[in-house]
Amino acid sequence: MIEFPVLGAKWVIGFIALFHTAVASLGIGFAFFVTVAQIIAYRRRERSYDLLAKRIQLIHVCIYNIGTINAIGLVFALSGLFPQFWSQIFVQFYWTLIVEEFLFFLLATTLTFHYFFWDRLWGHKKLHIFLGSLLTPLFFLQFYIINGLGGFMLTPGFGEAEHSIQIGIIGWDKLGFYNPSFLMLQVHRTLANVAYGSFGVAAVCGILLYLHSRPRIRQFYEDGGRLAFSLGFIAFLSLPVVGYFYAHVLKGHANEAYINLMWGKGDIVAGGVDWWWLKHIVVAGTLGMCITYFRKTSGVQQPLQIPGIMTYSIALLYLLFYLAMGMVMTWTFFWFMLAFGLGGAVLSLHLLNYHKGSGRAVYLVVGLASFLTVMLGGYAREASRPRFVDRISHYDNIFVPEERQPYLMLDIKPEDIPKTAALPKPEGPEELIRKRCIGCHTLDRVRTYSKENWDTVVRQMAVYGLKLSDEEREIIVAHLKAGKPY
Amino acid sequence: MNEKEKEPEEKAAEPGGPSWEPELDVYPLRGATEDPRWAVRTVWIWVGVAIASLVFILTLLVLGAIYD
Repeated sequence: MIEFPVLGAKWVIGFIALFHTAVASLGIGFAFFVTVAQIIAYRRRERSYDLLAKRIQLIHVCIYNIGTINAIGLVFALSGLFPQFWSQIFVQFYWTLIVEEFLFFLLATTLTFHYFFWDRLWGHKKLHIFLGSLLTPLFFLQFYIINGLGGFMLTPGFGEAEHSIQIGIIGWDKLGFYNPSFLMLQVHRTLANVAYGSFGVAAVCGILLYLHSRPRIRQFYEDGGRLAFSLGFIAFLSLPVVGYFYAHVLKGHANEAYINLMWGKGDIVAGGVDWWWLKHIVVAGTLGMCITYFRKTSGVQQPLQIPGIMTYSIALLYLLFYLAMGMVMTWTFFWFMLAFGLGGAVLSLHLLNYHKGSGRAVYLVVGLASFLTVMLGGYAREASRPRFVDRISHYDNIFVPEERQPYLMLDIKPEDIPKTAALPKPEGPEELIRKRCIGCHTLDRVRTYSKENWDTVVRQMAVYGLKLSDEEREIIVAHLKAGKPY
Repeated sequence: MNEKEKEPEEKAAEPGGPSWEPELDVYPLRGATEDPRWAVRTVWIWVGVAIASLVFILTLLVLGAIYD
């Protein structure tokens, strides 16, 4: 195995993955914001939102390129530094990753076309907006694919995925993909990235507000920043609640990760800092800042404005949420969140007053906090779980299909090809069933047949290509008819 | 760029302001025939490809959720 100098293989992967998270996670948020801003601009026939959308889409084009190339770098790094892990994942989810690659192509092209044709389609504006709106479902699907793999690494399910690895799935592992934490990861990451991207847009507006002095330009960034901030907050709102249910899934399906997170064990604590706690503190501070901001600006007429009364309801909801979390976890958690929530509120109030109602500093601070949250959340998720390589006991016995034998990579004549080593002959009915049946399907399917039909079913399978001697067939049928485990 | 491909007209920027400041004044919708045909065709073709691909991928995911 190759070792990386100075940093070590583990941290190289960690840094590349975190950089990828920082950049690529902006994509879905940017895409969604651009579509919302374009629709609002079209309905109001107001150029400012459309112009901001265009400028953000230009940043998005640049960021998407960086994120994609970085993702390829991650694949390269994994292939060299953790070849066994990567070959396992790649064989297990081959078709899944091919679809992911296809989505990269669709996204890159759609994004480029959307920006490139911006000023050439003013006579077909709806078509142009629709083209941009395709980015959101495409991003969602890309998330869907990669979260199947990410969830699998955290909660492999089915006896720590031994099932999947033993039977040598090639290309598509349904049980592995739709693993216990898949749904929660998908919902949580989608909302988090929409929030992160939108808060990112607001932060860009905040920075540009500092750099421009002309009232009209300031108004342009103030309005755009407020719209992005509202969108970010709407997505952000439900995150702690989704996170609670996510943790609930982990409690049952990735107990070690759950313990590490809740009690600050393992890699969650690095350099004397509990990074998961830090993330929660940042989230509570962000909530306090946002709620105060929307309370203070509730009188401003603009799209997606949150009414004043709703901000009180949200504040009350979160007070109750953290109260409940205090009861479930520790009261220290409740008091810390309350303190940082109030701290965020006071800071937001001060920044709004200092800038005479302008949200520039709030946008910037919340943008930074959102960046920190995404980084810390990504780190905590990966650091909390036991190392994938260690947890799979059959990791070293990866099924190697014949078509991937090493001689295919060598320049040798057919007659020089060494004979494939004979596979050990299965012994006993359980092993026979496992080795033979999984040639075409998972063991899960075996359970769907009833006992009395086994004679017919095994004959049917033979028609489909199952190779069994008469003796082997009798052993298998007798075992399955008796309803014994396999 | 030929005559038909002209971008929406831009006003001169006021002194001291960014070059794009005058663009804020108008939402420059125009007649459908004023858009370059090659651009409209390219985008329509791509929208078709993207939707067909989306349907294809969704079908794969649905089938993948049913079958191993």
